[in-house]
Amino acid sequence: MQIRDAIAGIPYAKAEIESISEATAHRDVNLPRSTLATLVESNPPLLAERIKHSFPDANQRSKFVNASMFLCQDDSAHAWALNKLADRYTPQNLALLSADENFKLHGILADHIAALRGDVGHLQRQLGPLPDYDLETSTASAVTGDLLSASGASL
Amino acid sequence: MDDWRIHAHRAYESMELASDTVASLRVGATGMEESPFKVQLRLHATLIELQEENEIFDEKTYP
Repeated sequence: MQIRDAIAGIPYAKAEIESISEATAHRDVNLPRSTLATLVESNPPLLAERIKHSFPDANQRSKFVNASMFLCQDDSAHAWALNKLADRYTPQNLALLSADENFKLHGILADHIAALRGDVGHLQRQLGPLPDYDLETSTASAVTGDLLSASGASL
Repeated sequence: MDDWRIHAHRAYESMELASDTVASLRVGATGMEESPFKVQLRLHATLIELQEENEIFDEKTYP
């Protein structure tokens, strides 16, 4: 009602708002159901069972998952900013900066990198060591070898 | 000379990959993933690579 009142004074604007019961009454029963609503079901997370085991309480579980995703979002924001700065400050554009501007850019980059390093470190600690998967031991070593040689690091 | 922009782009790509992987592990899978072990292994490797990019980036290459 308030929306209809607000729109009433605007020229050429017409409210076409229906309540659920009105919409149901006007619904074309011949339309296939799939055009009226699409139910999207997501697959459970890969670590659903382990997370449930570690956090039997649903609130705790939710906090843990939210904290993980918050870290990822924060990391992604810093990485996105670095990516954009790299696109923007080509060698040609960089040459146009004054010493003061260059110093500021240096500071901005350093802040993003420091934040990214801190959050990634936090995420690594949160992930902890890799668990043992007895059923997959035979493939694990081969995959580990490939990845370690690719990254030049040790897990 | 090593270009800092390359490390910035790599860090961004690694972080995108890591974010998607954490979401698959902890929020909801797409159904296209490998086993949880392999996914976790790749996530660990991606994060190590990302930290390496950050270290190189931080130490010597940017303006």
